Amino acid sequence: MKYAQRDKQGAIVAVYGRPQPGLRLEAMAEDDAALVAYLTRPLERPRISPAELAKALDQIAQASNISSADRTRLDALLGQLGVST
Amino acid sequence: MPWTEPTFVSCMTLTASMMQGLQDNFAAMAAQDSGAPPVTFANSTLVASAGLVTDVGCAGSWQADSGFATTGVASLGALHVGSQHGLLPPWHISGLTLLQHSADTGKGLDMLAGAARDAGDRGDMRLYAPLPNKRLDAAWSFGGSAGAMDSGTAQNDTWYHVHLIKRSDVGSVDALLSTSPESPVLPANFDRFRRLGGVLTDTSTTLIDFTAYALSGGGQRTVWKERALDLDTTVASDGGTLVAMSVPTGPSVLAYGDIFLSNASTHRELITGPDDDDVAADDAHQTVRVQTGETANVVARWSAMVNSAAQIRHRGSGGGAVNGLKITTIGWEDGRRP
Repeated sequence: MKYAQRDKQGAIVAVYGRPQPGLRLEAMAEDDAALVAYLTRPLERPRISPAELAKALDQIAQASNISSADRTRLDALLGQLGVST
Repeated sequence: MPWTEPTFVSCMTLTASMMQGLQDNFAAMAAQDSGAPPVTFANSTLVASAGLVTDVGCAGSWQADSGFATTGVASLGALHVGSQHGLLPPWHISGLTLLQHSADTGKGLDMLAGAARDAGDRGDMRLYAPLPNKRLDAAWSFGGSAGAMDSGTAQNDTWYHVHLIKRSDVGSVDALLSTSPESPVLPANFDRFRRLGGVLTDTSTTLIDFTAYALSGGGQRTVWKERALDLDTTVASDGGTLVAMSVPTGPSVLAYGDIFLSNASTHRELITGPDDDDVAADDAHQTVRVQTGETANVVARWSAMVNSAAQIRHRGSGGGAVNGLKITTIGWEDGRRP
């Protein structure tokens, strides 16, 4: 048995192992899908490499039809990261 | 008042005046102990109270346990006064470690041999041999492989406190389970108890697996076989927050476990006991920390004295949200003081 705390939107924001005095918690079976999803969520934010960043920015720049001056500045910034489009 | 063990180490012949002196000494001890004297003297007769004289070493002399009377001059052997009259130091406890019964770990508890003063420090309680298989699933009855519940039936997800109990009139010792750490419902004629530890049931009213170890000084360390995840959150308040942990409610025990912190930017967490000052988490007061540009995931060991609600306090610094904050309980140390 676990005890879940939800925010106003209904998302789980905390899971406790024991009942907590003063807190309104939802008792959940340990195999509850929502509980399992919360407990196994990825904890690290996704990371991308500089080359992946350069490629993504290039695609955004082309789709946005940025000016040649802005393009020059973007390439300069990417050059500082050691990558190019 | 310190007691002197009233043991006669060799056979001897008592005159009437010696018997009177013996009675006077036992009467004085009994007055201190608020109990009946084990030996009384009337009309030149020494009378031992049932259950209080437990061993006599000389042939033809006193009989154990059932009481006796003899007139005039008596030969005494090794006379050991029953445990109603204390021989252990005040508040003593030793041994009496808890185990899950090997043939039924989910419902049965064993208590290893040991000795303790009762919770009121009025007398000794001795378990000369292990007491096996006191049952979670049956009302209390005397002896091993018998019920242990002091009232009602066992419930899911509930703490039960194990007590050693005794009838001081006849010396019988047994154990029971109660939701109360301080006021178990004692069976008829039982008048003394001492808390030995706590056990927790799961959602099937089955004991959650643990291992217990005796500590020097009479305490007990209990370790969950699978550590308990007691908090998993992304909310990390900069103020102190109390969290109930998987340790017994009631007694103040030293709980310990691991704390895991994951975040992309600098964040600290400090764990303290509720009785400690609620100080801000900073470089001098932190149990765990992650730092921008350095380690994003850190785990550390924590320990803290819990309150009667089994709570500890965690307090963050660095913002109100983190990728993950997890606090697990490995076990606890219980001094088993009344």
